[in-house]
Amino acid sequence: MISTGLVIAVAGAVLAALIAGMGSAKAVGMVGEAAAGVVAEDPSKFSKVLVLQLLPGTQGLYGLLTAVLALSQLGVLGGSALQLSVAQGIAYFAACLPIMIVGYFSAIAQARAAVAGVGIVAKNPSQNGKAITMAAMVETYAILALLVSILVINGLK
Amino acid sequence: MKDTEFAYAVARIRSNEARLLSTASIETLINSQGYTDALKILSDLGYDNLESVGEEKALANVLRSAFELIYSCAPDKKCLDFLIVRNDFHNIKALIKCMVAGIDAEKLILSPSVIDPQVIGEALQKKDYSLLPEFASETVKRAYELITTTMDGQTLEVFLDRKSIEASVILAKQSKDEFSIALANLMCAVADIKIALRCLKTNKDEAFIMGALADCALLDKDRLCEAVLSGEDALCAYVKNIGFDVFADSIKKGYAAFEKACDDMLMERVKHAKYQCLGIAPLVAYYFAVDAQVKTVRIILSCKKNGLNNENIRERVRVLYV
Repeated sequence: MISTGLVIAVAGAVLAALIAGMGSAKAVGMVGEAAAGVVAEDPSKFSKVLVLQLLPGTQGLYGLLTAVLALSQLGVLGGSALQLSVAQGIAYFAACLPIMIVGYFSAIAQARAAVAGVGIVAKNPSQNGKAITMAAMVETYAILALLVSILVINGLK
Repeated sequence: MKDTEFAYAVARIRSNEARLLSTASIETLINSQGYTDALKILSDLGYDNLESVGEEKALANVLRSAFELIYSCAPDKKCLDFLIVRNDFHNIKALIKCMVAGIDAEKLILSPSVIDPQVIGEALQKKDYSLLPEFASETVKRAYELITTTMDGQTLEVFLDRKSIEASVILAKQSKDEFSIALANLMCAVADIKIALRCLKTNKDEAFIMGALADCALLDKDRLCEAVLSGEDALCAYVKNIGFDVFADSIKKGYAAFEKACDDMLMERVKHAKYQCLGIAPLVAYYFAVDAQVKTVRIILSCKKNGLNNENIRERVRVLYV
């Protein structure tokens, strides 16, 4: 029988992948629109704007990584799910919160920085390294959130 | 509308901004050895059809292309209507006058426009003004009544020019975009000050001035009219009082300096859009940038044609966006 604690823990893992993934999808889409605008005028800039478009996609991957780690630890992936108390379930859910929330918002924020970077590439393609660096700075906070989520999940073993 | 929906449009505009004439290119143009040399430089800078198509037509086409570009990529076309509505009022003017005179207005029609000129023509023919959008229906009705009762072309012009300025503000407000509303209000204030100065120079009476000035959020029509009737010093003092110090100084320098100050003020207002990566502002700013560029090229060519020296040309050249 599946315990309530396990349901709460699995919900946390699923939401980590879902919400961070939603943020990344929205963000990559937004930068993709901007990139398309530049490529429509100058197709030779495709490779430069593609890097910028990829940047906010990482939050979705972090969400997935957290979800896989949590599900693996809960035994869901192996087919022998653990029996968890409600408190243990809530602890797993809380462990997933950092990447769930920070992942979503940092993806959107990074998309805005990347769109601005696309503008730089449009006007001055030689400065694309600076555009990438500026957008990549936002990544720091997604990595910190991922780190916290992983540390807590590992601590719950 | 969310600013993020403009991501594609802004990126396309940024790519096109790279093709705008730089200050260095304008300086090269000013230093050219006469009109023919200026045309040759312009040809290298992308204005390659000035001689074949004709200077005026070619420059008008550049501005039209700029609008077509921003219009084609804007996610909400209506938010750009306030920029071109003056063409509609020109068309209304032309269609009414030609209808009364019994001549064809086709050659006088300007594009792009918010309302299809054929719809204006149909509304006038059928006297069914409900065919027109709300901002124009009552105006066209009154304009037609005005010309048929008074047969006074100047009164019609003054009335429609005022309505054109007011319509621009109305359409900007409908877009609910703060940048557009602020810009339309500034355009309205600048237009009113221009009208005020013209009225001052031509000694118009109070009734004419009040009829010509558009309702504006940035200034008080009554006080502006009062200032015009009191003379140039009073007008300068009033514009200074409402924060347009630069106009007060330029009015004293002459009409050319004043016209330049008007264009430059609008450009300074839109210039900060260079640092915005989303929203409508970069699109509007690009249109202003091309407009300023076209005006500058026209001024330089005209000055070269008339043999003015480089210093005189520099005094007239507009502030550019890039």
